[in-house]
Amino acid sequence: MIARCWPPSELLRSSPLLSTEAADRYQQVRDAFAKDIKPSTTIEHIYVEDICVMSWEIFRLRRCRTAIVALGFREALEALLPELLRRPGGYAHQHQEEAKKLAYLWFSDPKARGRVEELLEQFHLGAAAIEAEAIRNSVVELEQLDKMLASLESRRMRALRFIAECRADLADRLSAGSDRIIDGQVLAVEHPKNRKPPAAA
Amino acid sequence: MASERQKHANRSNAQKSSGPRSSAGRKRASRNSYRHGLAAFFPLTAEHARRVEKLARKIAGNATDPMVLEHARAAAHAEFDLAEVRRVKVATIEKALAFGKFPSTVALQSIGEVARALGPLAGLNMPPAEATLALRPADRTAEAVRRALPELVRLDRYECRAAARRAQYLRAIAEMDKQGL
Repeated sequence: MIARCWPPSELLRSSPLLSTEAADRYQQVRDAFAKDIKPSTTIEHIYVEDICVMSWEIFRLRRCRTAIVALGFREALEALLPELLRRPGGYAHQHQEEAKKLAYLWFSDPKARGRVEELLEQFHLGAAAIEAEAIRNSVVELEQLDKMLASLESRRMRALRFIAECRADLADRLSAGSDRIIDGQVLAVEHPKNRKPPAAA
Repeated sequence: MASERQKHANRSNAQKSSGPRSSAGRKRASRNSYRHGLAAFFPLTAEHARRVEKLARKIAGNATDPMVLEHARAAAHAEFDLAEVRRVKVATIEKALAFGKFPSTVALQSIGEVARALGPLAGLNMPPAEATLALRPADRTAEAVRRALPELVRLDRYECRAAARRAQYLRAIAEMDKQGL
């Protein structure tokens, strides 16, 4: 009943690409999915397209998650360093200018990097403290990203399960159909003349 | 609190004006609360309806059962809704990429957001948001996604809703297919 063969049409191709993303990479992902799943019905085509889009979004959000933490390093250093530079009895805000300069140079100047490491070591801290501070600063965004990632992952899994259910049902019907053919038709293949008369009861 | 006399006056005044009466006026008023159409469950244009019907025919295949056709139409409609939400999501990120800042309609939730919003006004020498976008494409995308996140989270709700609706109808079609309808 349902159309068993339908080549993917432009009707369903809504590009999920941003201007900064590579179209050929997305095409590779689509081809890989089409090769692995081999959609045969319209419904399967819809779901395969859906899985491609969701997978692409998952790649994007994961990349963004990492980049958001990395982009927060400078801000994290600027927050962390005044506390590390502060002497007993002094105030953190007195060292803000020096902290800003060090945070800026930390990315390019090995000397500044060494100084930051030295300061961190004084308090038994490592580079992980900078990352922790960056994550703490972006925790609202990271939580929202995680929520979106969880939603996408769960929908992608549901789509894959749906295809598997359709396939299982198709396999069951093919099996039942082939049983019927074998039981009913193959015996009738013999020419009626060659048939032996049924044995007398 | 309104007195009995005021209530009576309100009711009698309401009787005099009960909204638009012509079909054109009613149609226009029906779209008064229309915002972006992402929650709408009706074809917006004739072209949209034609495309929905075309996809529905492909989903239903050779089926003639009216229930299957109806379910296929609903599934096709949900499919287009889903595509529309995805287009809006991409456009939202592109907007943040192009303009740097993203005018949010939600209340500012953190000290950082308030400082960023008030910084240029208060003379705190904070750079404008568009000037602080990262330079590498991957970082620019990440920053744009970060800025568009509140809107993206809201759009995700519409996406989930459209996907669930489509799944519901496609499952029903698959079930009918199993029963040989």
